[in-house]
Amino acid sequence: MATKKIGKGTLAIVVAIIILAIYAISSYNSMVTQDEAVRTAWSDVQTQYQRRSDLIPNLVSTVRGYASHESTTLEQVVAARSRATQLTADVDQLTPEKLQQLEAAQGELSAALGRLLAITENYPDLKANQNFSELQAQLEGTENRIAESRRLYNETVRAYNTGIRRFPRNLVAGLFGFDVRPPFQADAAAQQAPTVSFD
Amino acid sequence: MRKSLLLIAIALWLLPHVASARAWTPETLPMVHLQDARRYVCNPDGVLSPSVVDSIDARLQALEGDKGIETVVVVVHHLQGDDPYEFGMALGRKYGIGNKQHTGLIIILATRDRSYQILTGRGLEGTLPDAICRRVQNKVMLPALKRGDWDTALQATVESLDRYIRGDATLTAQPSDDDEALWPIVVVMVIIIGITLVVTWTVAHRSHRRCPRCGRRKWTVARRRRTKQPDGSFRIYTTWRCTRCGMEEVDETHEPPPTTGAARGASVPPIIGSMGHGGSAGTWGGSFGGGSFGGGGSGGRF
Repeated sequence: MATKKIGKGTLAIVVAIIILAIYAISSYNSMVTQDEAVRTAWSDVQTQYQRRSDLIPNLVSTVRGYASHESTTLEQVVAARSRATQLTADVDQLTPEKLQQLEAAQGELSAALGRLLAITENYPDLKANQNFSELQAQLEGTENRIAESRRLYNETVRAYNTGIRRFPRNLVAGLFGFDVRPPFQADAAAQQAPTVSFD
Repeated sequence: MRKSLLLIAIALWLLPHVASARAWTPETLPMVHLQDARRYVCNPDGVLSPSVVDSIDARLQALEGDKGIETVVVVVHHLQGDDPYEFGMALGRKYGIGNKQHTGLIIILATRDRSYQILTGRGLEGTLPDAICRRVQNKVMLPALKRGDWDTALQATVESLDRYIRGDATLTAQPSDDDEALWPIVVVMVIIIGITLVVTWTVAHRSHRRCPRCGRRKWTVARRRRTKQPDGSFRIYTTWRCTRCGMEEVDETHEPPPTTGAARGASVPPIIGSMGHGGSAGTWGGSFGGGSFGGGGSGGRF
């Protein structure tokens, strides 16, 4: 008999709270999914950068065998590599400034590699070397993978950011501490892969 | 008059040359595999000879059957933007070339751009690393390309990649793929059956009318009697009873005489369609399985 005392107003409030809770739960879950996608995309970008720096020692030693007096260019590559590998970031520490620093270091490495590959043009023996040609293919493939993983990262970040900034989901996002994540800026210098001409 | 005729003649003579100089985009390139599952080579400019196209198609069909590799070979004169890598990636994204294991493979040759590219799907990067793609290009593809022998270049490249792929025992033609595809259909069917059952049950219970005396939904048909009238029609007496309070009422309706047999025959539904029509050669469109490319592979110019 006690249940009969609940008024219609109270019932409406209870129903409204239940609907809000269901909405909050479902948007929380979809934000978690998108956040996870961003994390995966970021770790893929890091993996590809790592892959590039793993290729460098082999590349440098191959080039040194043919072009030992290009030591400045080679040293620049090695130095840029060590700076780039020192800087890594967890996706949760990513701020626009931090991302810019990482990008600057990786961009410097890209530029140094570009210079190295440019001077190899002057060494026909090196260019004819099958090992070098295959290393070069790996490096180009890795640059492509970096570009592709950055594109995917930006895509997932865009979806995630849009998701958490839209009303009324931004309220749920604020409640659970979902923060906007920075995308890569389309920086011409950082994006530029070493170009190689074939003849 | 003569001048304009001459101009028209020149225009007509130029037309096929202009058409053949067309620069293809991923959107405009006709994807032959979607029209015919047995074809893998897009050869819209007719660069390759038909016999080589057939032989590559046969090899790639066997490869897909045995190893689950979805391959697309593109041989054209020009590519829009002159970037075979971007073209291949866009093509892979557009069609989802490669199955669930992401073992797609794209081979591109643009003869007048003098560029070529091999792209490996994410799941094929281990089997065909960039260095292996470059090795095949350097040793097999490039010598023929430099001679302008497009047929040999493509045939030898496909043969060579085919050998590398067949050498990888971990690749299998995923038979479980179909089971996965069936799942959503089964779920949807279960839901539809469930909804139908619930609706039927509700309707059946709702169909109980209200008893005129006690107002409960217990007013159901207790008996029905049909008596033939002298003119061939029927009189139907329906006895309604409330199973709760016992109230009873009799309805009386009239049914016209039955129609003759001849008329009934016409109501038999026609046999639906005949099996297919024409084209019994078995040409049906193929599909791609939603694979993705991460940028692996190798390309260059000659």
